[in-house]
Amino acid sequence: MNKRSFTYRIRKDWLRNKALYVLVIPVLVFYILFHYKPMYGAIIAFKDYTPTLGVAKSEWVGFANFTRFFNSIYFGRLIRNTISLSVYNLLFGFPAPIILALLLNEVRGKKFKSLAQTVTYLPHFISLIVVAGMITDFSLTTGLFNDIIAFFGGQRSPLLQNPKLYRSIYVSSSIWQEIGWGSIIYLSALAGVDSQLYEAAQIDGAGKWKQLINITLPSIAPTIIIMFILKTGSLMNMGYEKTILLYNPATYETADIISSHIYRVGLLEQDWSYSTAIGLFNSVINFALLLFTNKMSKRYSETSLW
Amino acid sequence: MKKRRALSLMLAVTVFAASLAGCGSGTTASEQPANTTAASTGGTETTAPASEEFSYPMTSGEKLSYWADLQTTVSTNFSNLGDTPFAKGWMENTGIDLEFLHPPIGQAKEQFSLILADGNLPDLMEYNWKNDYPGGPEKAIKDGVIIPLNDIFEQYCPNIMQYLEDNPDIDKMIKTDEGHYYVFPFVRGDEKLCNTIGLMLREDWLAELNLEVPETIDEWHTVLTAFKEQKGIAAPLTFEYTNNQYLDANPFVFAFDSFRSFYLGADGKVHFGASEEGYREYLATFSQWYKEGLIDPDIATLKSDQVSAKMTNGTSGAAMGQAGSRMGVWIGAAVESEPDYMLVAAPQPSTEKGKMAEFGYVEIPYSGRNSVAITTSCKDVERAARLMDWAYGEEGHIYFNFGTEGVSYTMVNGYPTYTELILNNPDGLPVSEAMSSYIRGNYNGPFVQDLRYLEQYYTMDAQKETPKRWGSASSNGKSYMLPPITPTSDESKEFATIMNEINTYRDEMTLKYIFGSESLDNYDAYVKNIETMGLSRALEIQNLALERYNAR
Amino acid sequence: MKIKRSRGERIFSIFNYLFLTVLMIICIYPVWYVAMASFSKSNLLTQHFGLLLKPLGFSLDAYKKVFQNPMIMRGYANTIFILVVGVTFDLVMTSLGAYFLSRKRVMFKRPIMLLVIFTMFFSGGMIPFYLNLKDLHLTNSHWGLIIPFMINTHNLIILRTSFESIPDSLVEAAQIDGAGHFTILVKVVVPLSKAILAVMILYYGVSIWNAWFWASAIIRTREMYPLQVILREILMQNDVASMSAGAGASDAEAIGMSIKYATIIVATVPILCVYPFLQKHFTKGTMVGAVKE
Repeated sequence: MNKRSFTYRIRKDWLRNKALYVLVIPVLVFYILFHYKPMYGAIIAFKDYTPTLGVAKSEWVGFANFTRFFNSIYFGRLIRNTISLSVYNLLFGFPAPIILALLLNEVRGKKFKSLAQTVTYLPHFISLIVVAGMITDFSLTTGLFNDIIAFFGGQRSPLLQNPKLYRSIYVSSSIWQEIGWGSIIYLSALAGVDSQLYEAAQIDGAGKWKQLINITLPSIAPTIIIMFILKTGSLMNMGYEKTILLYNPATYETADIISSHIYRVGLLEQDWSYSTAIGLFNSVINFALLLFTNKMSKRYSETSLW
Repeated sequence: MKKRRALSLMLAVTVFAASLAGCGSGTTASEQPANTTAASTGGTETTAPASEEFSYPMTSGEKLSYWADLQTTVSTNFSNLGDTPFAKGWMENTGIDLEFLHPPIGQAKEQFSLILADGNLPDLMEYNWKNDYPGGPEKAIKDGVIIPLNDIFEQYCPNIMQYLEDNPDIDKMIKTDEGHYYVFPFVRGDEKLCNTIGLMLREDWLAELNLEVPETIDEWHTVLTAFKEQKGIAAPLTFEYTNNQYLDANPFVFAFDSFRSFYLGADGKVHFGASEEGYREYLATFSQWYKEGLIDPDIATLKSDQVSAKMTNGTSGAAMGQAGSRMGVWIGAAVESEPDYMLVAAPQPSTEKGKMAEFGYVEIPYSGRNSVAITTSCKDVERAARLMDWAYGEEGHIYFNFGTEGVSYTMVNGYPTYTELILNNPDGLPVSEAMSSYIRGNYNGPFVQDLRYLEQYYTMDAQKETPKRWGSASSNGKSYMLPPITPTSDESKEFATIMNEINTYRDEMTLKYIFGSESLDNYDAYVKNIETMGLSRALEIQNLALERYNAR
Repeated sequence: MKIKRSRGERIFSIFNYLFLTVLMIICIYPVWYVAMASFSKSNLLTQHFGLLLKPLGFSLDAYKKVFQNPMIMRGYANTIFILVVGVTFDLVMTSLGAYFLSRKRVMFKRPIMLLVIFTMFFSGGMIPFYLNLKDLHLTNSHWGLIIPFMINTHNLIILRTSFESIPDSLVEAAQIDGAGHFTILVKVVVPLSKAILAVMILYYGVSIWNAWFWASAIIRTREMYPLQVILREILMQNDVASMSAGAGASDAEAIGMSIKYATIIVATVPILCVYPFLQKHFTKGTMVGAVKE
């Protein structure tokens, strides 16, 4: 009976949604052609890949690339740093653009709001190399940050040489660069909230705070939740560029992450097997996190990825 | 219903059509070598031996493709090396046409891997085959990427054969462990060309304080203290600590007969300096100086921009750097606002007055960079070989280093002197850019670099002094430098992994000692840790490589 | 009907304005710094560190030199082509996918969604991707920078979430009137999604504008490089120089610092100007009359 009902359901689905399926063909073709077709390449994580031999003819080495990574003396520290930097970023960097969007939403002067939106998203466009240079300058013992510290009676010190301060510097600078850009999606969501709801609430005597809790937040909740799920899915993806520009051996303790450590091996660009293996390792963790977060959001809210 | 369906179908078709039509929507179809047709004349083995009548320029034949990094001093004015007067002259003189292919600056390694992967190799590739091919140059031959050049040198390359005969030490450097020549190398033709990094200080301050250029560690201490106490300088000695090359060249490490990493010991074996006694003495001295405030407190974070600022605006008085990109630039930048500003080069410090330092930073003449190999895709090997060989003969050597007579140089008493076109370019180009348009002498490439280029590139007196003060002029460092040995392809991964751990540990601990957060009483524990990380295995690999090198 | 604001609300408003002003000052500083540096004399810049509030020795030399660079104008042309064509394709493809995934009671929706999400995590790596492009004849071509990147799964998900919130009643109404799915997409969904589509234009547009990595991997003809590849070359130049040893390569005077900054301005200002045009879609009340279910 099962088999019959299955084919029956397919036929029914096809009849009803024929148009939809045809509509999505280009999208499917795209994914197959550009994502699934080259996916076989992931197996070089288990091989000793030489570009001239190609994927098929390169030698199998099983888990050797992985054990090489796991056996590193610094393995624990690298994982710890990668995860803690990511979590800090999530903890402080995730709410920041939302709060900014909410604040901007409350601005009555149209011109001011417009200006604020434009200006706050500017840092996103300045190349990381330049931003890192500025941060290095400001963190010097004679730099701006120390000037501020001294103004408030503190002691000057080389900030970027202090492993305890590294995370704060890293995360704050990320927030600075991304807060404006990140708020765009939330502003767009806020634009979709029916203004009549606000008017009705005001008539009922609800203050700003009540409006926020009962109208605004629930309206943009789906956006927030989806963005959050997506962000947890990239927890392990800390690229090396910013780290390399900001760290130094004095801060390796908290600054050295997986990607920067491997970058120093020097063969990063050409030890494809090794870097693919590590990438795979990261992806598996990311995917697991995503599955978990999605499940949680399904349980506690209406929104989820699937 | 029909309309919507047709529309989406059309969309899918458009996507496909577009993807297939996407063949070089740009201008030149640049992809691959022009030597396509099979019936090409460039017969390889059976050509007449080189000793017969052969002269440049060669008769016309197929175009060769040449892949190389584009130097920034060229790219600011030309988008392809082939557009430069240098390249045009090169092609004219040899009679061989070239098509130049360039990776984006800084992306050479990535593009290299892709080129290998898709199998469409250019005829000639300029690359660091020694260091940047995973597994080493012998593997590049075994993998079928490049061809061994032994027979080719003999048959078609009299110039380079002569050069190698005259310079047997270079000869050894450009072979693989199995005795195969694999590149047309970039060689620095004179020892003085290998001494381009060293210490420098504010000469005007030394004069003001009545001090001599320091030669020993104690004298350095006196000078730096004087800078601090008498001139009120906050960071007397500053250092581009984030630059790996500078760390390797750190003269204060050498002063204590020590080395930051591997060196050739007096016993003919490979040693690792950072776990030996000399390094401990260096750490003790440097940490003491740090405590006394003689060293820039932000030292670990400094990049070239910060150091340049400090050296030119009077925050610091001493630093390390190259004569051109640091000394020359700093003097040029500061002199406008401070006419008395002057820098002077200081020799490698030793621990005893009057005694020359044992160790010092000297680069080896062949580093592997920018050397050209002939790939297995090249169909006209003779043509490629003759092209490359020209640079090692008399005419080619002059051309690569000085350019065209009457245009970029003139002979003055037998000394090739750059013309005003180069040194005082009418279009306002800086010397380095003018040079790069006409010669290759001022950056790396497949030729032998001539000292006379450097003597003129250094336009300031302070710069001209540097070869006489740095490197071999003030130390015996040359005898301790490791020759260009390579681990086997199997060992290289193991070696890289071990060394990454050891280097990380060494760098972290070094700073801890210097900043005083770790006491040097623990030095033995530090040495022991390095041992546990696999140092003996790394040394074993190095020593085996050295044995193979010596046997070449 | 004007409703009186409470005292609390007014205080809040003042603090809000203050906070945003401070934030704006902090955020504009990097751009201001770069702009000021680009109008400064290189040698004065070398001596300077810390805050830079006005040009040091005003000079236009840096800009002159930048526009002399043979690749700047070419780079612009290339990037604009890729941008215009690319964003169009991206919007169309992503909308198709988002629409499909936002419909209810579609049997294969879930498996397709999973397949799509899976690609966010697992891929074959750079070399197989490149070889695949080569097979499809997309290398060394601007189309190779457009077609393989037509859908960004992250954006797809965001767009889908937004399409999902379009009230069913509107869709059903259109269906009753005889509209097929394509018509619904074009005539109902898209017009109601102006705000989110503006975001998509911004996301895809900026992503294309800033992209350099794949361009440097698959394009072999220098004249075809998009602008960011050139910019990156100039910015990286100091690092690259310090990595190559020996008299010559590392010893050449680094490109004047002000030229570096002038290049950044030239390569970044145009995209900065796009946002103000899209901003009007982010104002309140775009979805007047629609009721959330």
